[in-house]
Amino acid sequence: MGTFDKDDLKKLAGITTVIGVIVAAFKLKFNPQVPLPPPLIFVGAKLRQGLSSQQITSRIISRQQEAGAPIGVLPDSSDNVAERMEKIRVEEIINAFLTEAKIDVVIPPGIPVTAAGGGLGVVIVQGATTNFASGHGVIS
Amino acid sequence: MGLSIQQEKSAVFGQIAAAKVLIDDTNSKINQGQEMRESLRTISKDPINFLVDLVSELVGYESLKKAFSNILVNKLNDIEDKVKYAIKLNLKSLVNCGTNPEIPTNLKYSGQGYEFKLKDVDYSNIFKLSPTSTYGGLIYSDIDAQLNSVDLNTVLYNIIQDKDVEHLWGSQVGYGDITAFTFKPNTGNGPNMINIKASDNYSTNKKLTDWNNDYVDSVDLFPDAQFFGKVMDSVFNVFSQVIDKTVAQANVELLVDNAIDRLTNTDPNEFIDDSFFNVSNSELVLISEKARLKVLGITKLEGCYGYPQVTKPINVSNSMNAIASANGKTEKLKTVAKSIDNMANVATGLGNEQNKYTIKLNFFTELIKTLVKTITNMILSPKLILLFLVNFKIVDSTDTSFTGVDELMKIMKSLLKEIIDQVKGIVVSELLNIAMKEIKNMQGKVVGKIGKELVVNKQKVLLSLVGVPQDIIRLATKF
Repeated sequence: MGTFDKDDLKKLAGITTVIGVIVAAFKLKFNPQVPLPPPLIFVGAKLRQGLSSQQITSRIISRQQEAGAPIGVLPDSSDNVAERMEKIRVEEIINAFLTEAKIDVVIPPGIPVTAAGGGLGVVIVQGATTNFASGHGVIS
Repeated sequence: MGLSIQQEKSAVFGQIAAAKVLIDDTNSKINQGQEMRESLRTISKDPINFLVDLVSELVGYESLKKAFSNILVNKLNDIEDKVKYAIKLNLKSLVNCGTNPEIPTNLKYSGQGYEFKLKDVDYSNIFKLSPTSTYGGLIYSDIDAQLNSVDLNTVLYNIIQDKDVEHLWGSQVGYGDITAFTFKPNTGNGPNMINIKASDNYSTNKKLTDWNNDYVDSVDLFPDAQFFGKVMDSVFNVFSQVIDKTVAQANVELLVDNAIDRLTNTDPNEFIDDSFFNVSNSELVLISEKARLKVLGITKLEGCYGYPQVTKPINVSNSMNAIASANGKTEKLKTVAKSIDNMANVATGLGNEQNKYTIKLNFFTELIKTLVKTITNMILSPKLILLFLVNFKIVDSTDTSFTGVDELMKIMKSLLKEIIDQVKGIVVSELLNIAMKEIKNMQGKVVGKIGKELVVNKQKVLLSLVGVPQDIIRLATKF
């Protein structure tokens, strides 16, 4: 840190300034990700099996020990309520994804277009889209 | 509407907890410091309390010790400069505003001088302690030089042993004579008085501001060893064991502390009027209880389960001697750190192994929290109170008699607030420096983790799109 004059010091005497400085230090910036190649998504998406709450639950429970949580029946022989709760939680989340989630897709203008049409003869047109286009999808 | 200060402070601790979880996969340190921080329990606007909690959460209590040592060794001169500047500026605006800035006839060397009751000048009774007594060094410096000491409080003590004789101040510290003091002991039922006037050097061609500025410049406000001693007194009430005090006097000192705490808890631009210093009945009860402990030289540190704690003056005195005789900043830093450790060990002496950590943390926390109070209290020592009283007597055309230090604080509220804000700023900059270094270090690790995760996520998506099974993807992305 540099040197501070008396005006800086007066500002630093206020809690709002101090919190502001600290909060600013927690702000992280990342570069936006490069989009995935569209043909790969087109082909690859068909290969996916879809979401399974049972599989997710079993993976979470198998990793519980990493966080120090007990697995299976508890030492006092009682049921492991946390595991049951995990199952319910994942089922509900996945159920909401499957039945309530909605995916909106936006296609920006400028997509190259080659079109054929006309009356007496065929006319080939090359150009680009000029409007936004939208589409919808679901999670499965 | 934005978040309240309390919510914002909680949000910062939340960010730290989240960052710690991200960085530490093993959860090994996450459960430390689960106890709710004091600064989050209160609506305090004092950033020091918040930063003390933040730094101890981020780095641990050892960093508080380093911060204290650094302030004592490397920042006291800066604090002294800023405090002196604030005093000079405030006194100048005070006397220029209401009166003629010429030195009043009464204050001139040929005049009568101004007289003040000794008990008003010395509200904390330090002059009851002889500089040459066993523990005189807790308060005075350059003791053996007596009237030639560079410490004006030492000189004043020796002046009041020499009744009705005028003594000059200024040449002791390399200035020409600035001020003449005469002690006038009580006659009959009257109080002991101290007379002050400008030296003959200010009889011609000098303004009141010149005298004020020279007076302020001539005074050493924060000798490092005495500063250390005063901090320990703020934490442990050590001085009460060596200075005979009544409960009423301790009460006044605690009222002053209470006012300083309140001023510390204000925002820099907050307006302060006299009603700000009004004390509620419940506060008075609490202060009276503390005053009874203070005269006995007892304190209660948190974490000691409320056990009263008595720290022997010899422990503080030994540390002060070591600090005073240390040469060079590196040696001084080492000596201060060692002295703090010694005092911490004394503080933890009563605790068992389980609560020693808490007591030590609370001791280091108190050291930082008490800095602003200690500095303000040192300003309110006889050597500067005399100067303040002279100026306020000049401005006060009604010539009403001064009723005590609480009145002085009301008159000086703008100056005290300015000083407190400057000192707060310096302490905050020190703590913020430590906190920001650690936050940047932590954020560097978080950025690394998130960046790595984003790359792995992309790999996972790509692998899944080309039909690689989930189990293989998990295994592959672990490398």
